[in-house]
Amino acid sequence: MKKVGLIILIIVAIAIVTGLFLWFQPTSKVADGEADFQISIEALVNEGIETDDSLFNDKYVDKVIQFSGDVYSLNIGDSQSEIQLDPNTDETVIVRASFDPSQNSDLKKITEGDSVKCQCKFNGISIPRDPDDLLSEIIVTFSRCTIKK
Amino acid sequence: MKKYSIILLMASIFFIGAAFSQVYTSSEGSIRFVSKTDFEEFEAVNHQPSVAMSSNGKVQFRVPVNSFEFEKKLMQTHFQENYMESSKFPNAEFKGTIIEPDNFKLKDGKQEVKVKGIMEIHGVVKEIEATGTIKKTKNEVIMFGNFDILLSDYKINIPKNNINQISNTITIHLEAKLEPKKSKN
Repeated sequence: MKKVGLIILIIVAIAIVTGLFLWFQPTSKVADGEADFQISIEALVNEGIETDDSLFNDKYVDKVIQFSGDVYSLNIGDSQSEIQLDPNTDETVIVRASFDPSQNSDLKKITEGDSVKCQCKFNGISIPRDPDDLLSEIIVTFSRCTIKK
Repeated sequence: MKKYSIILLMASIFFIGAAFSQVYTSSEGSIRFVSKTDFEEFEAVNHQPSVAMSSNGKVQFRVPVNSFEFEKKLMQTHFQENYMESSKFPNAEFKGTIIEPDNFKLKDGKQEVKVKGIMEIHGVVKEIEATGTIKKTKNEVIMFGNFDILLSDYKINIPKNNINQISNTITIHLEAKLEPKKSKN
């Protein structure tokens, strides 16, 4: 009887520790590890345009993607940094890749016009549907990025 | 004949003015939401809103839902998958017009404004009004806005056991720095 009580106590303790771990687990700041996809922005955008939204989003959103492009603008900040890439495809595509400040030392080595390879979490693509939209570009957004050598 | 010429001239000026209204787009910005109940307060911030406004008072912003960052990973997962269903509705969007002051024209200095338009969240569209401030200097426009939304308006269901933790009223703060839209080439 005492043994059963001890087992139950251990199980409850494990459940509490696991619960607390999951609850207090901080959000990851960087999409490191193995990329789920290595794809060009051109291919990603074309697939986003041609594929059904939900199929495309299920496949790519929240996944880690590695891609390349030329730096079009660079903004290094204390709370968040961002580079915009020119995907060399079409002038109506803007690629926004945001970085945690922990990556600023790598970003400071970059200047506008440089070619870079990034690995990021993909947050989605927005395609303007209305010709009157002020936001008339296709916007591709990534976060938790790192620069890959 | 003279009367028609004057009308034609005025119409031309109006259409030329409308056609050449300057568009400003965001180079930096954030959108932050706060949920506050008697038991818990939390917030999430998104550094990737795309914001645009025209000098004649049109305003638009689009936000990738998955770019909201929470302090706790579990909260972020619940927000994306259970509440916002971000794989089905990856973007939230607002499109509207400045209704106060009347016949808004962007000018140097600070202006208090009221905006009316359509907000789309979680695939649901709803008309909203919001107040904000627009401050223009020579080369940039700084925009601030605050408004509340009700989760129930956008069919975002909070499970019964989380009602004490998540408020149905969410306060949204938008801040953006905009610059004249430039062509990439």
